[in-house]
Amino acid sequence: MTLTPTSTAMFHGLSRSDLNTLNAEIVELQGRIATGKQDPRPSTDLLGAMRLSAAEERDTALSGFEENAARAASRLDQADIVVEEATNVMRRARDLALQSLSDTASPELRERITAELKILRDGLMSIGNTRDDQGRMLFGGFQTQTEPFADVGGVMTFQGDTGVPRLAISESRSIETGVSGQQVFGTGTPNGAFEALDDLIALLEGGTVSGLTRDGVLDGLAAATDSFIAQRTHIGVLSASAQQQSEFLASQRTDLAATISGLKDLDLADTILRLQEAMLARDAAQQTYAQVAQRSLFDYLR
Amino acid sequence: MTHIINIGKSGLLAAQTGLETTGQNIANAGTEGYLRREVVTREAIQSDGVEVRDIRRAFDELLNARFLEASSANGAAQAFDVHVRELETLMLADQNGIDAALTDLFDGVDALARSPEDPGLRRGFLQAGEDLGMQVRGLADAIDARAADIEAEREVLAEQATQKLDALARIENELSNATSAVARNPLLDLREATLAELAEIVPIHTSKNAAGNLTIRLGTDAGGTILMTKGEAGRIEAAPDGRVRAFAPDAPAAPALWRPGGGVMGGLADAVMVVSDTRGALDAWSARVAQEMNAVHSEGVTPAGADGGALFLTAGWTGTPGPLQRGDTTAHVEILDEAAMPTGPLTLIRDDASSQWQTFDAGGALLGVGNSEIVLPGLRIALSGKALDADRIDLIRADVDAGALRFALNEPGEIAAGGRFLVTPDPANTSDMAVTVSGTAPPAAREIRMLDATTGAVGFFDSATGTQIGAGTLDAARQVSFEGYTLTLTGTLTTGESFALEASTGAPGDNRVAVALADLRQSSPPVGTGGYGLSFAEIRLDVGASVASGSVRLATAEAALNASSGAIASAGGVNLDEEAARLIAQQQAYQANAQVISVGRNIFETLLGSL
Repeated sequence: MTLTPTSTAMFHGLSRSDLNTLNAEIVELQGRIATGKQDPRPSTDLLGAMRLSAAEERDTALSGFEENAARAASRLDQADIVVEEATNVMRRARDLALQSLSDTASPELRERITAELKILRDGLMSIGNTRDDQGRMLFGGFQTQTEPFADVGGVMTFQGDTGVPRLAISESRSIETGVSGQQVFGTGTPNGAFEALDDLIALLEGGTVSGLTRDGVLDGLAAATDSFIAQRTHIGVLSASAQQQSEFLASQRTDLAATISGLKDLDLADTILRLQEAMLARDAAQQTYAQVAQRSLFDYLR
Repeated sequence: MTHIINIGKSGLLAAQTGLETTGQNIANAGTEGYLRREVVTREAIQSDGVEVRDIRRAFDELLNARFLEASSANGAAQAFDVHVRELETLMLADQNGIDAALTDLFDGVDALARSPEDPGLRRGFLQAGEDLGMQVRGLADAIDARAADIEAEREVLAEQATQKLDALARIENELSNATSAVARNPLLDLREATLAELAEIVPIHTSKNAAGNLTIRLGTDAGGTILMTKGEAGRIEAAPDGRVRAFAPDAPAAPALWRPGGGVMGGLADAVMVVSDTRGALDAWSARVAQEMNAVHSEGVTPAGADGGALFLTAGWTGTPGPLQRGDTTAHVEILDEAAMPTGPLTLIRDDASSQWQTFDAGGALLGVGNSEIVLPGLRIALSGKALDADRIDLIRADVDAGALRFALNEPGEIAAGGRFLVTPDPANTSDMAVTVSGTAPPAAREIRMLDATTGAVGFFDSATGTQIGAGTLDAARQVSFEGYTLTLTGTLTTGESFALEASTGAPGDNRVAVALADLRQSSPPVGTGGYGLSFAEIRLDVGASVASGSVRLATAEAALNASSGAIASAGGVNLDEEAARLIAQQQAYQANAQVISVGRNIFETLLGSL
């Protein structure tokens, strides 16, 4: 704007407003440095604000997925340990079966073995009724508050349901956080673990139950053991998958944290430079103003 | 010889006027709106010497008209900027707790999905839901308060504009009585300054007749309502939606509404739009949150086996006092049951004979009476304050009001985290085929069997008896409906495989609906549900975009105003250097003229001495 000559009041007014603008900028930059954050108002950077909102929403979602994956992995690992124990129980039962069902086994030995088998059966039941670290039944399906296995009149009954709780571990993927107790223990099927133990005990105690043969009982025990091993493999696959997703999510979140920090945190070096620039401009403006405004033609009137 | 003395005297007087005028200019160097005076001299006509023809104000009609326009534009930009910036601040994450409340709510849902039976987590979810409702209501109220502030400001401005019009009319009358330039000039300065103040409030168009009498019109062209003419002033009132109602001095009829495009009033009109758009967007957002989350929750069952109810309610009632209300009673409406409440509007009328408020519906039917409380189906109206006979309060129902958003559940047991159905694949199934079910629960246990994978024929059987009770064919979306529920088959369709279907009675560990609710944290592209944090951020961004465009507008307006007032200052302002130079010149002229008189006297005395 080159308007000459301008009025004296106008000159002072413009100088004042220029100095005010510079001072306001200095105060603003100083405030930013004090908080260490970018200006949160979207009007200062529309695109940045949109990106930040999207990144923050995604970060909260990923954090949820991460915790879900951790919970799934933890529950699956507990199931893995428990099913391994169950496998050991079945191996021991098979050893005992081989000993007791041999022709040379004495009645006393059979009696002792029968007693041990009953303890093993109780042990297997308590394995089936294991709780996770949150106190929830591992094998009850959706019935997490009631024990899934109960001895009803000498028959092992499954009281849970077939529900399989799942948790989301990404936008498009969810994972089972456990396995069905009915499936793991084969309850209600001829190859069920409890059924195999009950058959063995019945054979040792009476030996007259219809249709029970030594080989049949041994086959049942073997099938139940194999089923546990198969379940462990299944659980292992799920757990590995949860673990892998956990790591993937963690690395995604690290990247996201860098993005968020880039959008949110202040570029300190840049801001300090801008502050110095503004202060220099203000000093220069003050000095030139003082110089120019100091003298007028009146100073020369005598 | 008196002739030369007279010439000297006229020069002396002209120089004196010049000195006085310069002195006046210097004295007013800092006076706002003061225009430099200039002495216009000419050669004396009837005698020799010089005479002062006029003391002229350095006024430029064109520059001034441009300045009034720039003032209007700047006033508009300033007012808009202030209010949208305040709105932007309200929308910031650290000013309202909506972002944090949403995160808490979905963290709560996530936790619930991990342990649906945990009563502590259930309570946490209730807390987070209530908090979100509270934060949204708080923001809605804050936006409403902003709107009310703008309304109040517009009322004050209309009053101020009317006062300025009165002042201008008075100045016009005084001007018609003042005859000398010395008397007129200060009045003209005052008129120009008052016009500038008026133009800052509303855009005006000025015109002058041959005698210099001013006519002011509303708007930037000559077609607007006359606000002041012939020393008579009209007035301005604020009308709804940012508009104004302008009354001409002699207007007999009700004036038309006009939306100012400039001035502070125009800036406020634009701000009113942004504020009401933002409020509308918040209403729509609340409605979406409520509707989508309610839809998912209604698919669930509570631990007690009951169907999931609404999570959020959005309906609200606003009470407005009738125009003739003399008392100060206010009505507060509490919604007991949204489904049962009347559609409204309702009218409350005070009847002193019975000392009661009577409630009428739109058709004029009496719905209920009460003094401090009226209970209607689904509603409780609480009344407080002084009531006078025939006072009236109108209650308007809004089905979607962010200011009324509230969480509907009170007990942890009301949360329906579990699914309504339990689908169990037959142990003999080998494929990855799976069934998902939505809708109402079946009357009894059912078996679903894929009869023919190629034709998509599905059979339904009673699980207890094994008898077939129906059949259907999958549509393009692989769906088939039966007995009020809809099955969706996924995976590889395999003939002969079957699933057992039973109603779920609310197993404590069933987290399926909690998982579905947690899915709403982020938007799912094909369906478009969820993602509330981001869509709230979009509302905030829209306000930010208004602020950004407002500050560009402000910068442009300020530059234009500076240029325009610079032009006026350069043409008519006081420059002290210039005045000093003039002072020297006039002092010299004064001295020279005094010298002329002195020479005249000397000659005269010499002449006398020689006699």
